[in-house]
Amino acid sequence: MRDLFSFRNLIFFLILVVILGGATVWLLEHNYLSDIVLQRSAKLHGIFDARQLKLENLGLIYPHLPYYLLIPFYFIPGLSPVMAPYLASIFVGAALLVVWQQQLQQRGYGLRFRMAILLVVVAHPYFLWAITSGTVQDALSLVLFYAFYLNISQLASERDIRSFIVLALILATYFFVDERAIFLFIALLPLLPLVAPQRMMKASPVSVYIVITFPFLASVASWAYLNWIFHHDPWLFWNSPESSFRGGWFRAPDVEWLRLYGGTWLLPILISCGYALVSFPVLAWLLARVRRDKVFFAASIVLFLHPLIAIGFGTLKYFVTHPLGMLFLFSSGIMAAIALVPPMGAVARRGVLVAMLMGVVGGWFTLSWNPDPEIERWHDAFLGQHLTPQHQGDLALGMWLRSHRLPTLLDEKGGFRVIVARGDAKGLFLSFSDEFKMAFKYKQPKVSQIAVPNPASLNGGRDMVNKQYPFFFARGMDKYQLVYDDDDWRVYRLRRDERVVAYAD
Amino acid sequence: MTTIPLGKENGSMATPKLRMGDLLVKAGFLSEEQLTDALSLQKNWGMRLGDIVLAKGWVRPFDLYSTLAKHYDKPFVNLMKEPPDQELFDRRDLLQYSELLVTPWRRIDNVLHVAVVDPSDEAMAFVAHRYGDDVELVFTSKFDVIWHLQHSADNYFSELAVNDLAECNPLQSARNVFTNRQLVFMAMILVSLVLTLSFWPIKTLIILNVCVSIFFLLNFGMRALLVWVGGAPEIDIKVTDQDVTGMVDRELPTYTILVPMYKEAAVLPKLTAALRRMDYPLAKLDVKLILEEDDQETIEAAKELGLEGIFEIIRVPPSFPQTKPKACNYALHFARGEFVTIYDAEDLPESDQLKKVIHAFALAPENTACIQARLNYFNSTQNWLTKMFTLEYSLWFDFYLPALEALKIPIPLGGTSNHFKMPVLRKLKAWDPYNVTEDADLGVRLTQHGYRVGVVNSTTFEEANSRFGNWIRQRSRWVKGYMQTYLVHMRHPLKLYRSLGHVGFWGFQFFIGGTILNMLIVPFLYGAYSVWLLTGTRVLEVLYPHAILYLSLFNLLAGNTFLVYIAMVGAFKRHYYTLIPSAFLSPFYWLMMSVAAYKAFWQLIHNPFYWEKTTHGLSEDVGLEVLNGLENLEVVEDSA
Repeated sequence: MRDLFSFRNLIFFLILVVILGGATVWLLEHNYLSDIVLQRSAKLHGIFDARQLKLENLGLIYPHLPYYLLIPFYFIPGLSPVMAPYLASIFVGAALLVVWQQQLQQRGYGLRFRMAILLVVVAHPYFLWAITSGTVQDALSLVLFYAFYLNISQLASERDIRSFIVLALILATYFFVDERAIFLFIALLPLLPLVAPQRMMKASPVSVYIVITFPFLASVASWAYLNWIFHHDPWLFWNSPESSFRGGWFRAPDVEWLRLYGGTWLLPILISCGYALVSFPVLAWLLARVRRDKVFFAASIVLFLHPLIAIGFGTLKYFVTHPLGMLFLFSSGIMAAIALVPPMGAVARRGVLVAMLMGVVGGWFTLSWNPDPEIERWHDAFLGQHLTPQHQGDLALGMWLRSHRLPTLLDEKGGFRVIVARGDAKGLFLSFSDEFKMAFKYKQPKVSQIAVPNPASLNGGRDMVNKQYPFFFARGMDKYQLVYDDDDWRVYRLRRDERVVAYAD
Repeated sequence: MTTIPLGKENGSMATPKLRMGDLLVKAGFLSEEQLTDALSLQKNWGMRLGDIVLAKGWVRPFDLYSTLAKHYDKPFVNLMKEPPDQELFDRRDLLQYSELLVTPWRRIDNVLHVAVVDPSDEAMAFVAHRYGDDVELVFTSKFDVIWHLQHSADNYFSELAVNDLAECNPLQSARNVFTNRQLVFMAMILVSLVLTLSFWPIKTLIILNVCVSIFFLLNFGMRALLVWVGGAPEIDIKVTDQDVTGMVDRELPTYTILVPMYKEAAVLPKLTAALRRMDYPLAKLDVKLILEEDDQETIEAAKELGLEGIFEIIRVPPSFPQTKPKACNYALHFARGEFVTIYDAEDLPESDQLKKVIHAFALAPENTACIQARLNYFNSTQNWLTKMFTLEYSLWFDFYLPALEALKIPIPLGGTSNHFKMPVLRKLKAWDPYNVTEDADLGVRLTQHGYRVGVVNSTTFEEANSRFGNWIRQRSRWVKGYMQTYLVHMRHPLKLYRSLGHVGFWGFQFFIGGTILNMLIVPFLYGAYSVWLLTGTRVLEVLYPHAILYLSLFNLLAGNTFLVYIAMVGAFKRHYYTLIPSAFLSPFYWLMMSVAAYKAFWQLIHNPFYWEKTTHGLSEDVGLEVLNGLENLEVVEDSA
């Protein structure tokens, strides 16, 4: 442990931060900025600029831990909150690589091999996607899957009580990091007998399942309880159209993968298997290498099948929008496997490097198969294509609101880009605020300004102002005057004399 | 065969003409086969033949000792019929009398006659040193000597048993429940609380809420740490089966086993059977059945069993307080072992426990004074209560205590199966008779005196309490004892801090103090939560500013889930698979603990030294459960 925090590893960590940071800057320079990064930044503005700091204002329809990880960055002077998710992802990714390198060193691998294999891991597009897309949760998922797989192997080989506890806690934590955890959890259930101690499985399989699954189920139940406490609906996190726990469910018609395979499971598994073998041929090498070692073979089978089954089930439930959404976990799973397999000789090392290198090529190739729009944009930006800036209307409104700082009612679910462009959320009445809820209690709200998106747009269709006042965008409202107008947004302002009454109220 | 150097040159102790075994056979007290077996055991155990035949119950004590007298051509005296002259009795020599089984008998024709049981080198050296050469020996039985010592020094032993610690080290005795300083401190806290509640009720309640929430968070953290450390694989197997089989019987020391009993005649046969099957040279066992003098039923039952020579009945005269530690202190005066342990009457220790402990002592640092074996229950599946009790014990002894040992935090010893080095125990004045969890107190006291307490991977199976009222009585005593222990050791917090160090001190605060506080607070939280849940009232919201609300929610959801989970894990590690679902009902069990805690708190003030007696033998089918217990032993051994 002390070695892990050595000066050499610190330098190594910083070098990795520079490398991964360089890749991220490259993407940003090519206009790639993911919506999730903007959503996270807007959320941070929303909760910190609100009158009262309430964590529930983040919304309980997303896993929260990635947000908590971003909080320290919010307080770094001069750092734009937009950069926080990128920095967090990079730090997490670099830390994972340092830990992995340390483990390889402890296994006796030389510097040359370690650097070579590190380069092929980092060059893999699935790894790069997870770290540089700025979602934070992908980077955290890599870490958790790494720990998960290390622990699965330990469970299979050592069978001590700690392995059970750690495995259960990893799963329980995973739920608060990444909504994919639900599908990974379900996918693990049929695979457990492969790695759980056989004597225990024979004596009491139910006990094994209870001990491993209870914390995860308790996490889900706790989340449902929090949904009930704060939103009076325990299943809001599952039923809400904005819920990230449902993945692509609410936009299935727009996602090619779901259009082709949504509602089925076998075909997605088989196709994903193809994706996996092309993107990670090293998996085949790994299975072949450990075929005689019962324990590692079982663990490797689990590593191989686990994300595939999760994809199958995730597609069946219209969650998975692209196999990459799960397959990127192979990156860290393979890192763990390489750290665990019996030490390799020179030939085997060359073999693994070649297989990994083939995976890099195959990975870039598979990215273009039925890509999700977000992945496509990332792919194009990485290959040097300057992307057309999107959502210019949001940006324009944000800039306008920055200079017109009257209290403004805005539904941040569609307006998150506006908040980021404005630079803060001070004076904005967002959907969780009391002012927002109070305004909706009246037939005619009394708020200085109301920003409303075009109901014909994707955002506008689900905007709460539009839902409450369907003709507001088109006709405005008595005592309000239109002060901002473009194709995407309009802002109506309460007349001056009414504003005085409103504040007196 | 025994050859006894008597150290006497005056011809009074002639070298025996016949060997002891032959004499016993000749007298018809021992068969040839038994002699052969005894000689074989003697070779292995390195013990005197007399001790072996007594331990095996092949010869009655009277027959043996009278034969021994003949062997040395000396008179045999029955001390009950011909009692020693009390004027010759010197209290300063009591320890030697009881350890060497020697006592001055009478002065006849101006020659002092000393009664001996076994003219060993040590006994003869003591006689020579104490009384000079002009001494005549007479033989007697060890039971006569013990009877005589008890008879002659009842009050003295009782006085020592009750007050030795309190007189020598009053600060570490619970005889005074609260010191003046503690009373003043508590009064100040109480007054401050009342005043602040009067002037700033909401703010005060919020601050209390903050303190409680932080306390619970830290408490969960502490328990998580203990489970993590206690779950380490290397902690589990300290002494292996190979280590035990490699031990040489003749090198093993004499081991005293104290068995305090009160009105438990029914479990005597089971107890003696369990002790007989210990994997330890029987003749090296010094078992004291400690019975209260007013418990004639058990005394008679013990007599009727015609027990072998390793069992000695120690009758404890009535005195206040009538507690188990006082009885043990009393009996300790008659203990002859190098090591001493306590078993309860219904205990079923794993047969190799004593050997494992000896080995564990050998592996442990020199300053290790006590080794605690793990406790668990043989009637775990009898009913819901025994299931919950077993879950609790599995966690406690299989995770918490090994972790406390590893972290060097004072270990509150379990009620039985704690094994001590005799000299250290005597030096520390043994157990505090005023503390109703004398074991927990002693664990902390040992640490404070620079000794270590270890844990060994051997289990003693007990009978779990299966009835609510009985359980409440037992638990209230335990909690009261914890309160006493906390109060005693917190009389000088800084001194405690210095003696235990950072980890030890905070570990003590949370593991002892925290456990008590936890039980006392829980009903308020349950109450508030239930009111909110049932009525939906918003009155309580004012006490929960957002940060506190989040912390409380974390404690409620993550903390409680974690506690339920570790109860499951404890059962899982023990292979008690059928108990795992019972862990879901832990909150109800915690509530029962709170009931017991409030009873304990009440008693601490009104009747601090009252020993709530736990009734044993409530299992529906003791015989079956004994068998189950033995099977459990095998399961655990297999898994190890």
